[in-house]
Amino acid sequence: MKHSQYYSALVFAIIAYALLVMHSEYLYALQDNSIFIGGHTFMQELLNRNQGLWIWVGSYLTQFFYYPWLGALMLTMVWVATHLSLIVAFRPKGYWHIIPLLPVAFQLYAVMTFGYYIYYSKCPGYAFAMAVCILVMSIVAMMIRLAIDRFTKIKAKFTNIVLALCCIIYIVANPVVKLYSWTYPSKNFFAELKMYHAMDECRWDDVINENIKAKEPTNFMVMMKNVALIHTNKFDDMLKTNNCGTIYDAPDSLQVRTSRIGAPMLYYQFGQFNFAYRWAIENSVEYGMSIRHMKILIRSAMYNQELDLAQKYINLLKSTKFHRDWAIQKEREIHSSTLFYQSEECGNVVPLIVDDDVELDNDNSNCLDWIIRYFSSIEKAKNEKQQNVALCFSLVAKDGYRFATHFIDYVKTHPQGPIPHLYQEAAIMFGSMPDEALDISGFDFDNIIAERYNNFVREFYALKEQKLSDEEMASKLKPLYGETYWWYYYFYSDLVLY
Amino acid sequence: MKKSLSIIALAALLAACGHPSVPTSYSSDNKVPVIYPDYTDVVVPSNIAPLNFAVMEQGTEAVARFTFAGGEYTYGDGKKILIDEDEWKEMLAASKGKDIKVDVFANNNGKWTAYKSFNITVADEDIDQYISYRLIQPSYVAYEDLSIQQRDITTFEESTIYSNLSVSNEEEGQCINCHSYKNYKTDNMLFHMRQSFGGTMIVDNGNVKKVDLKTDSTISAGVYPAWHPTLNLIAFSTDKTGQSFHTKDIAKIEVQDTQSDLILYDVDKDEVSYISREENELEIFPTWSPDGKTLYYGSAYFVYTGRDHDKPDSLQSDTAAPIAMETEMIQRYKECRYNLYKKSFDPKTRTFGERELVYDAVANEKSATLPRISPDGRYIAFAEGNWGCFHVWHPEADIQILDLKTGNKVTTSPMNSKRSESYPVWSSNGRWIIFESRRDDGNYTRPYIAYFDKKGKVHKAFAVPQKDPSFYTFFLRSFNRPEFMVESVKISPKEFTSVAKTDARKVTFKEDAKK
Repeated sequence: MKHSQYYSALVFAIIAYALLVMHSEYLYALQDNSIFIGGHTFMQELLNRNQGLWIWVGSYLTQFFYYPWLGALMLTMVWVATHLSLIVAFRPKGYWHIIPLLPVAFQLYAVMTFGYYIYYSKCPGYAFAMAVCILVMSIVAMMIRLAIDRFTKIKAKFTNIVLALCCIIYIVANPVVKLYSWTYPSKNFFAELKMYHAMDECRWDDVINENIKAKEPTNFMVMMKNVALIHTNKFDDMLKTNNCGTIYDAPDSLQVRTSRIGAPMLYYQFGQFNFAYRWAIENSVEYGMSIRHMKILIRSAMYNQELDLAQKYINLLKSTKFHRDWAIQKEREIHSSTLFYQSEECGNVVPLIVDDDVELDNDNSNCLDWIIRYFSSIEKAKNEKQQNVALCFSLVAKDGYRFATHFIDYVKTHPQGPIPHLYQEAAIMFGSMPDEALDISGFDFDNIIAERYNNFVREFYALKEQKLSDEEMASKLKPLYGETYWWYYYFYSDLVLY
Repeated sequence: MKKSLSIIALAALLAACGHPSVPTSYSSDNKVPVIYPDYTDVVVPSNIAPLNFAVMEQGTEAVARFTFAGGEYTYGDGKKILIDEDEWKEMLAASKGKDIKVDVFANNNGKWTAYKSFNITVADEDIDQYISYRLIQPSYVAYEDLSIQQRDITTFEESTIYSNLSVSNEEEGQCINCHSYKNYKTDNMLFHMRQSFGGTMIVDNGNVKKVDLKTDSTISAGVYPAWHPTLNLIAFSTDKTGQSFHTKDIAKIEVQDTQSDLILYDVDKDEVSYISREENELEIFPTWSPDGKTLYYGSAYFVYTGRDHDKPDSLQSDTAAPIAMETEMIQRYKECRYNLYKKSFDPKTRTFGERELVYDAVANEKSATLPRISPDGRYIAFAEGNWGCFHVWHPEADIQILDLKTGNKVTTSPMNSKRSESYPVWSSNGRWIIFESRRDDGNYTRPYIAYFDKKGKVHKAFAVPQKDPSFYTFFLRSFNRPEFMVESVKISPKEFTSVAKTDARKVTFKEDAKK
């Protein structure tokens, strides 16, 4: 019983560490959405802010989440130190020794439930900032207690009450307030983090698989998955890889927008460097600079041939602890166009740069909508990749007329075939509609697909005659036709772009 | 033991404070060293702060020797050359009208290289002690923390005039802009606040008031201001401004006025009246001549057709509804070009004369904006780009100076770069021009100063010195609207904040002042 309070600290440490490490992608995202730049200018910037010292320290320590196990270990150690300091300060008896555990438990809860707020927090490195701030206060409490013990023998009871009150205000109140305002993030939130990380490192199969695993992926996830399909030339798999996105699942009070959580990366992947740069800047202005935005700024500036600007950001990134190598690689690419053009990223992105670009435009903060609209209305695709993107996004937007235009071009440029199944499905469907957008009389489609479409139509009308609702029809037809464009066209209506 | 430690510590301290010695053996490189900021062969005021710089040549260590009439000093701290402020003052005082010769040595892997010397010429003339600017990230639509700062450019002292964080909150932000002074003094000054606690802060003979310059008869509240040099009057443009974004051009943004006029605000009476609102003209950026008898400004002739210019002629229809002005301006943004004009002003009757063309930029397919008249009234400095009014986003934009006496342009290439230069402002003695430049990286605006000598010749521009030469590299904000002041702002940020939180006084519109 004598050491039970220390056992509880040990148990807490194990649980906390395990919980943190289990969410390693989340920890990685925490550092990716934060930044620490060495030198006086950055320090001064933060120190000028309210609570700037803690933010500066927090930002420094947050870097270590680059290796989630290491950052988690450090954060756990800070919490354990806080807990032990509080034990020494208050020396709770019996079951009361649970009390010093509360502040750190609250912190663990707060960190683990931050969810989409990681994109909206204006306090970079908040996890460590909060932890270190509370640790320092705990140590102060401990020092006071030790000083009192040494120099006075009396008033212990009174001192304990005063200390307890102070600490409740400073230590418990803050996490409690946060506890009320934070709720659990969705599974899609964690999946989005994984997919973003994989996309950043061109791990396209991981992006696709994560989306397939999701029960109901968000539209942002679906777009990331489609980027992966586009860059791996697997356009025909679009509807076979969970293409029916939903809106994000976040606390109601938070209006999550793709412009905030992923627009810079998406625009970059589609060769829209000005818009990628713009959103990286806009987000940095509003929520603080981060590693992920810095990387997009560097990439965009390089593709725009703004090399001095790219070098400026590279200099900043070189002063970070764990992204220095990435920055140095980009610096090499600045000085060697061969290296630059041979990079995998370049090979992915450059074919998507549209030549006959419109000059002035505005996405009205709706990145997904703009990308789909922009690529589905390309007038003259300059290569096969653009042609496929135009076709796919015409289908996503259910725009039969645009699909028809792109499809005719596609067939002309691929006289030997074969035509991907997805395009055949769409062409057969649009061609058989009453106000047909496409005259399919001259095309040679796969008999199996044409036959399957006839079956779909037959079953569709049979169910309709039974007066089933759309949801019931969708559910009944899904096992057989769920991966076809027909099912997508008639039953998927949740393309809410945000 | 303690004593010897103290001696070692003292010796280390003295070594740190002392001057490094220049290497005795080195190889020579017959080129001027690359330094940042670039202070090679510049002319500087005799009261400017130390020109600290970093040596950008290969190596890990550098030493610079400054030789002047009174002797020489050496400096070196890694690759940074950090000049002692007192010694710099001594060098400037001894070098008025003369050169300070600078020799730079760099150590690369134990081998020292001596570079070709360069000069820093110290002009006879001082510069105004203060400048002010807005610090803003080069953002598009979003903004967060903005501040108007003042800097003593004879030292490195900087302080905040007003920060929007004093009134902004999570839900409602406040944009601040367009700080402006009467005759380089701060007892009469202004700046605007938009959105939260919106209004224009006017300091009238040392007293702060907040006014709402929007009336039912004007397009907007006052925007770009110009204080009359002697009367308590301020000319403003009123503008309907929009932004759109380039999908490819590295200019990135077009800031366009779809409507704009000029108004005159009487500070004493809180009245506004029209100066100019000509049909099919977009008037902007007023500025007064030093005698207050002429108002200069920019204006673009732009006729809205209502046609959708993105549609080919074959698809045009006479019965189609006209497209919005904003849409047409976006479609035809390259056609919107500004000339410089002037109007005479009678201070007694407070009436304006007819418009006269001062500079025809459009004839050369250019667009001239942001005019400023030199204190002697002879020169007009302005920014010139290929189109539009917001040249800070136009990489081709340069500062131009027109001699109003001869009608000839002054050669301004020493102050310009391949990137955007904009917002030229004369010092009160007319010998210095401060302006915004994006020459460093294309995106972050830095304040540069160029010497304009008595013969009307422009000299190479230099960046406003900073204590840490790497400051501009690591600082992610732009310096916007640099303005000279001969004194610091006396109103405290706290006083501004307390007035900012009050309701703005509505001004009235006076029709008959228009001529």
